[in-house]
Amino acid sequence: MAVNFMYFLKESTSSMRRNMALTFAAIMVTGLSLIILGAVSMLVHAGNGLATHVKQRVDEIRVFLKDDITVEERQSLESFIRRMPEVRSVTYISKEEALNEFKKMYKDQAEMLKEIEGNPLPAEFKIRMKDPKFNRTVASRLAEREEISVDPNTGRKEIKFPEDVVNKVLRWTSAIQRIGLVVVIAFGVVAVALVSITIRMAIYSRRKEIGIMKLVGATNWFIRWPFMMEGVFEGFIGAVLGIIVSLLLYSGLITRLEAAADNANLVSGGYLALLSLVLVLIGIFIGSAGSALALRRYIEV
Amino acid sequence: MIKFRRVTKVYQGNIYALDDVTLDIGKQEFVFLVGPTGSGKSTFIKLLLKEEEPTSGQVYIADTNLADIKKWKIPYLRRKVGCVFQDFKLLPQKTVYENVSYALEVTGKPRRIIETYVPEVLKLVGLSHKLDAYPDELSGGEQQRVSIARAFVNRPPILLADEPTGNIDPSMSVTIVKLLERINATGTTVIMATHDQDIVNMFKKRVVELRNGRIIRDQARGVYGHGS
Repeated sequence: MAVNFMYFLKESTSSMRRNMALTFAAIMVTGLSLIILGAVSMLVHAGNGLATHVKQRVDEIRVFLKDDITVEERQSLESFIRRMPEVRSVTYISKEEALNEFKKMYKDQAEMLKEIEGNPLPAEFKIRMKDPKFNRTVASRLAEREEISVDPNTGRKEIKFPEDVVNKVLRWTSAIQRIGLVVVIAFGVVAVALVSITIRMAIYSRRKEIGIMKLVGATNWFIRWPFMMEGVFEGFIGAVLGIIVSLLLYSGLITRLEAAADNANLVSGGYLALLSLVLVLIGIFIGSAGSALALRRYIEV
Repeated sequence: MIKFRRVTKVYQGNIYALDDVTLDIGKQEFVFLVGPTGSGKSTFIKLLLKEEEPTSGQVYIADTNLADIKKWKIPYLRRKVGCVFQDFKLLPQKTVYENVSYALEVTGKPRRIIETYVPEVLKLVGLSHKLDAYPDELSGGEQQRVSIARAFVNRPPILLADEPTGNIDPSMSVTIVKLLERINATGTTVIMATHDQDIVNMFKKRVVELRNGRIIRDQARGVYGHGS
């Protein structure tokens, strides 16, 4: 077997040298599809990590008030909130302040601002907790209060959690995930086709040799092995490219993102190892699928 | 060793390459298969290698009907039937040694065996001094001897030679056939398709003559044609 392995290896490498340009193209496209896969996986993973992190860290909830409550009612609610031991601080934002803030935020869109009649924005309390874990407790206590407005769509009190911000992040990551998946599959198919073409060329350029191998009694599998290895090797190199770029992306982008998010560990070493393994397996799969496709049609007894 | 039973091979367009051929070739025989181009000699050889299937009738090698051999087992059949061609079929980028060792490598023989068998068989064909030469550097006769070495290195019970002297000058041809005779003497059945009259007349072996796919003569210690 040792002899055979060296024989196959020799045959594969010399064949790849002969078809250098095509082999290069196949490796590049395989690499590209795995680079995209690696990048997308890592971004999605980091995005999810970031979302969880934000959920754990943000200690602020917002409650919106009914428009028709009196100043007394408002003050009684405020002191009710202030009395809670979990609450660190409360900020009141009146309807006018809310509208001014809104106008400031959308000052570029004068058209839209003109549409606004009166002041549709509610007044609100921004409540900061001593710890994010109190968000729910405080919110459930507030849900009893009449002063807080009701969302006409859900029939529930209008209390906003940081989850709402987080959900925005999650929507982004799932969009990246979906688009990424489509692109990866498309590139993957092209990669398989390209590997298949390189193997077909290799078979063609060695057809005389294959004829002689059959003549002296080589089994079909013996003839196929070097071509199979060639495809697998191309897939493997593509995977290595994917891993390298993913690691560069990690050190260039993800680490900065982590630094920005209070040094949270968004992408762990374990995840990187797992991702590398998956990329290698998929690379090998692309390579062997391409070879198998070429061999099925071009080597018969 | 080899039996043809009422073998007919018809190619597309109703061309009868072999027409009702029945023939027995014993172990250790040396047979000249003679006849003009298109008489069916090549088809005869292709049937023995199972490159073609007979249209009707049976071909046996060592009592095995070739029709019963499954496709994936064909390589194992070919290891038992060595083959030499008019155009040598050597790999130009491999040396003499490599061309021969190749036949053992592809059948998965261990290195130790390859390292003993290859020099041995190259000595037998008289090319011990050209192990590292490439086919292009050799004469036709030498190339054919490499090809014979490759066919014989597996020690097949049968050796087929399809016009082995076709591309070789007459003086070398005798050497080639003498080599086949020596291989025959080791116990290998040799079938040589040829239309080289001088060779056939010189060696006085069994002669099977084909014409239009039929056997028109089967003669022990024969000569090429009636007239000569």
